[in-house]
Amino acid sequence: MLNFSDRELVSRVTQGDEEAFAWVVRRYQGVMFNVAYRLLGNRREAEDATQEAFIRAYQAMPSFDLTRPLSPWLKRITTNLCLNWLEKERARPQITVSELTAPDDEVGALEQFPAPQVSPEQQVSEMEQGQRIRSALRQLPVRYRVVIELRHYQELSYEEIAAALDIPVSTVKSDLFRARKQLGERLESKL
Amino acid sequence: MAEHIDEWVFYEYLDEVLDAAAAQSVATHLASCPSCQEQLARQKRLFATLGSLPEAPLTIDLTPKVMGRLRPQPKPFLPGWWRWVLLGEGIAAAALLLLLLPTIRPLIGGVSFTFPAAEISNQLLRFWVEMGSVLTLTWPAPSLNSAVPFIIWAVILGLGILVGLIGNSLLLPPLLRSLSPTPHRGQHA
Ligand SMILES: [Zn+2]
Repeated sequence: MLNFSDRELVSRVTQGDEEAFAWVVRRYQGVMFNVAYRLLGNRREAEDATQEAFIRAYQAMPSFDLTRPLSPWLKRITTNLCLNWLEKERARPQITVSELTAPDDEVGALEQFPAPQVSPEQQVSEMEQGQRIRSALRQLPVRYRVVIELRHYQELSYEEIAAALDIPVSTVKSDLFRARKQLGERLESKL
Repeated sequence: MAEHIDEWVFYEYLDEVLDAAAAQSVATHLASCPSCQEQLARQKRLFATLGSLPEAPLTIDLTPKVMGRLRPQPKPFLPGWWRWVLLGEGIAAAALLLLLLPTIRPLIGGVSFTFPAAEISNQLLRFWVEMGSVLTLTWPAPSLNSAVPFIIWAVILGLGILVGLIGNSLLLPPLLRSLSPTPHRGQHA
């Protein structure tokens, strides 16, 4: 099933073929994990969210429109799930800001998978750069973080973001503007 | 020189959502305004920085975990509440027995009353036994208390059947479900 198209896999899943879903997971776990990681800022939580998002995707798969691409749909499910988690987290008073913004084991994780044909110095600087960006993202309010994710990493249009978050396009624009301004201020000094 | 361009306009310029005329006027202004050029450059740098975030590698394969969660653990033979149904049935039966005890006692004591149906079955049994062997068996006739009207017996019997049916209809479906193989998907659809 390695060479099956997404469409073939999904139609097999909807016919009850669980092995086909295992291939969907293998194919998209990295992508979905990265969505969750950017939004949650914590590896372990991102892994849990990815699992949960796959369960939701499996349950929702019978209603998936086969004429549409699978990847954006899966990313959307992951985004919504993380958004729910973040909102719940915010509602829990025992979670402190320092816990939410604490950096995790990214350096260790990256060291295990060095990018090929990149000098060690370049690797270190990329790692530092990555950490700086993740840290800046973590410090953004949730609603700003989500629009940055949808615009810059999932490359949705303003209208698509508005539809995904069920907010007016004007709100998307103003949230994006503020989010970028905050990110710019945090990252500019370190660029 | 025209007024400087607002920051948000540059963002829309970079997002390519400005209409042609607006984009043209931004470009025209930029050509002659170093200050706005610097502003745009800053915003472009931010976009580039965000775009440079490397994909974080997933260090574990989540497939077994996800697939494990899709296949729920096999359900126990009977659901948890079946004990309570059985207990309820037991209590109901005991209560019924207690209520009927005064009625039943004379039966055990041997006050004889020949119930027609019992008499017939008795005759049939005796017939078969006598046909089948030279032995002559004396079969004590089951007796019911003649003091209890037939209608009471009918009500008791009806109640018994009702309790049995309700109990079994509660117990049987999960029992049958647990015996027949069910596809996994049904539980997630
Ligand atoms: Zn200017």
